[in-house]
Amino acid sequence: MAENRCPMCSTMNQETAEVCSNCGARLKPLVFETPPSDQQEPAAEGISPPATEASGDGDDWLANIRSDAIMGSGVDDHAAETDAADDAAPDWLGRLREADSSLEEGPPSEEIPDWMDDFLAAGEEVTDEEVPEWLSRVRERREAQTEGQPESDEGEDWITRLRDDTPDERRAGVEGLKPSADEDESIEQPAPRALDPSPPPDVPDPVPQDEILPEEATPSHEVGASAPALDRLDEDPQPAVGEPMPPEGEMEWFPVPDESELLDAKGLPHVPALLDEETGEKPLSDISDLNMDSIELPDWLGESKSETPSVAGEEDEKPDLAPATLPSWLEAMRPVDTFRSEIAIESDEVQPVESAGPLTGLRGVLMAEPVVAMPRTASTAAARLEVTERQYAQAELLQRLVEEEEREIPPVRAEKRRLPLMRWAIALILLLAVILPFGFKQLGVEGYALPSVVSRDLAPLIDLIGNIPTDRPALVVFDYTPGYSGELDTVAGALLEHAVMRSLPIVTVSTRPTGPPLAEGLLNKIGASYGAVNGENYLHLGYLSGGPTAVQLFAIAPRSVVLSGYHLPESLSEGSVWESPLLQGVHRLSDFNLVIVITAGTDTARTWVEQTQSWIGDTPLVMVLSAGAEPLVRPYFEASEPQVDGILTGLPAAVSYRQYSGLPLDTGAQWDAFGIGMLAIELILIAGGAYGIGLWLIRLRER
Amino acid sequence: MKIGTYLLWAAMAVGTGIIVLLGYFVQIDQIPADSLIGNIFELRLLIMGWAVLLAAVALGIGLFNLFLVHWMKVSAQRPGWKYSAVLIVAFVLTLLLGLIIGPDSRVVLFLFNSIQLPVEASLMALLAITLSLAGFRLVAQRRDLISLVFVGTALLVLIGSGPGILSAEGLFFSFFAGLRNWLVQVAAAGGARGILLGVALGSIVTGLRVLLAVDRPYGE
Repeated sequence: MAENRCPMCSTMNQETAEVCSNCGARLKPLVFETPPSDQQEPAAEGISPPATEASGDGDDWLANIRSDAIMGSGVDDHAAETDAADDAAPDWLGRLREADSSLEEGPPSEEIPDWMDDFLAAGEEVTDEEVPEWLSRVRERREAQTEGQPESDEGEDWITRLRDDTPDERRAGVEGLKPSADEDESIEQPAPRALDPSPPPDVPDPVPQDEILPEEATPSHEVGASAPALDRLDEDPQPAVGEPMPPEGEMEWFPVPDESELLDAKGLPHVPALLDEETGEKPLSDISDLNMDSIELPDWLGESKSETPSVAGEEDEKPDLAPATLPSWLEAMRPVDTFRSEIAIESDEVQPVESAGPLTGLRGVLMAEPVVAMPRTASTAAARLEVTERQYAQAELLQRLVEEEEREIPPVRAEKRRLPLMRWAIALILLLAVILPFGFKQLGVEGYALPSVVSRDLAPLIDLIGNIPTDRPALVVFDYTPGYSGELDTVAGALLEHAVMRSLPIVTVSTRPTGPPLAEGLLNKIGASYGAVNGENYLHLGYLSGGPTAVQLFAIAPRSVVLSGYHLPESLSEGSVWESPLLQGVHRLSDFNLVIVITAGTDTARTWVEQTQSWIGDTPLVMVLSAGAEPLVRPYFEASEPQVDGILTGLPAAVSYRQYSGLPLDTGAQWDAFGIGMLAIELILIAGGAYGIGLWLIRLRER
Repeated sequence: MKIGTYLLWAAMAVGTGIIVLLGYFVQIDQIPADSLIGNIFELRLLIMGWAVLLAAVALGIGLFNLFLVHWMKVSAQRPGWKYSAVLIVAFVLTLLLGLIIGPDSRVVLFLFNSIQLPVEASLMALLAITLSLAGFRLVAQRRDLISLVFVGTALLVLIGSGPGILSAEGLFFSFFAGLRNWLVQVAAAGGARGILLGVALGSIVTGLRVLLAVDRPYGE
């Protein structure tokens, strides 16, 4: 046995059931069956009501009437207007015209209907003599039937008036559209789709009742307000909204059958009228099929409905339906606080006026600004951030750093170019202090006396150089730049002159590219006094590339590191420097009788001390240093197991060395220049101190 | 990076470092040349020779980079390009002279003694003037304790090092001479020893970290 499933609650019902046994929803839609073709024929032959063609070709009858009228009148100048009107004319009007033309009283196809004359009456007056006979009869009949009813002169304003009609007027309109009893067979009822109370499956959720009816929220009013289609269907069931419709006065001849009788005759379900035919005040709630109580409404809508006053006797009409119940867990999840079941809408006078945007000047506009733009406080209190002292200090430090970076640096003012008078004055003083001693002898000025105090480090060194055997050469390392040549050439000159004087063979090497020419220049100068010759008394191994590694490798195996010498004599220019007689028997660093390092840098001195310590053996290591490098090298010299056997530092030590080693004292002018220059610098510092103290006293007095 | 590659580099670095380090503790004379240690020692010399070659190559690359930088500066006519042009001319000229006639030729020695030596000596003389001016401004404008101590110490050392004190005899002059020696050989040497000890400890730690592959400057 087939069953029908309720579209609302999915309850299976019997096939013959019209309403759902569970929810009361209608199972069979209130749609009239398509009338058979034999029932349509009378409409074609006789009166074809507009409602029968409303859905499809209901506009044709009006088009036919117009075309017939125009064709009959033979007015050519209206052809264009007629053609244009044909497109907009509803079909049902055309067919109505056809039906009228078939009637005995109807106008011939050549004539224009009287309601069309209203359009033409504005331009010309039609006399009674010019009115045809059929038109006169129609007018007489119309006047007899529609006496007391308002006439419609404007064919296009009837929709507007229809919307503004009072219920009485609408009722009158409905009465006017009622077909007569003898014509009900040929009338097709419009499809009452809007009367079907059972919502289709795709019916959206109902709009909250409060938003629709803020003040009159009774169910009856709700239906009447929320279903304007029902109202309009009751008013004008023929065309759809928006389609033109002839004035009511012109439709008096159209017989409107009683709906109930028509349906009963067809055996179709009876649907009562939305409005009472007599009074027009029958509430829609009396219609059982339209009773909104039969529709399941959400709770919020039910609440609002229960709060609104209900019409008397409404409760009796409610079907016996159990209210919807929610499971406890769903009830618990239902938002209560966030949803307001009742919204109090203020009156227009109280509501604010929109002041900006396209809705300026309107009241009752939803104000978006308080929601979006205005600052609000959080609904929930934010948790307080736990910050430790350390984090706070770091945050402050970071903030200070950022502020420091963002701080605008003031532009540096372009200072006026001033002559560096102070610098020039000091330079001039120092220049005179150095130059003037060279003229002391010519000027008869006695210079500084030689140092009377001899350093305790000098005597061992003089003894070492004086007692070094001369069978093997002494290695002299020239590790200073030309800038220090003024000091170191003088200091090292005394030591080298002592060695050359003793005919000690000298072999030079350097870890700086400028070392070999400095060595050549100094030894060439010293050797000229003692007849020392390059290749016989001294020899240059040249540049030792590789830094500390090369020094260590040279200490281990000098022959494998230095392959070619520097500024070698012609006898050795073709071969290797190690073929020189001076280097016979030298295979490692310890094979030298003496190692002398002349340097101005502490790093170079430490490199030679540290990298050669394991391979230097018993060979003494002597350091000839600039005055500035002495403090860093002296620890190697003053250690309990000294790695440096002798140290010679500064011009005073060199002068003392010459003085006590028996070397010629040719440093007189240099010694005086050194002394005067030192004195000048001391005076400059003292003058600076005096100037500062005086300035301080002046400022102190000003305060 | 793959673990195998990392271990290979670490093993090579650690092995090379240990071999070179052992050379400081081994008496060369007492090692037979055909023994295992003797062969390792020969390997050590080979590795150090490679290091010297690499240093020479690095020097060459540095010179090439110097030339290229100044060449680009001259080509782009950037500010100071004229000085770069002079450097390029001098660089090319010296290089050509050294390659053609040798670095120990008379012409090169003449250029060295006539240009490079006076220029660098003059720069050192300017340093003396600059330091004197700085000392004057220091005592004239900054009158705080540290500045006074700094300039006072320099003044005492200058006085004690000068011929006027050294050549004279007497208690007054001996005092300044003894004070200068104390400052240089005690105070300054004490600070220098502290610096040397710090450098030595840092070098030991750095060397051990490299030997233990904790630091891998050769890459991961």
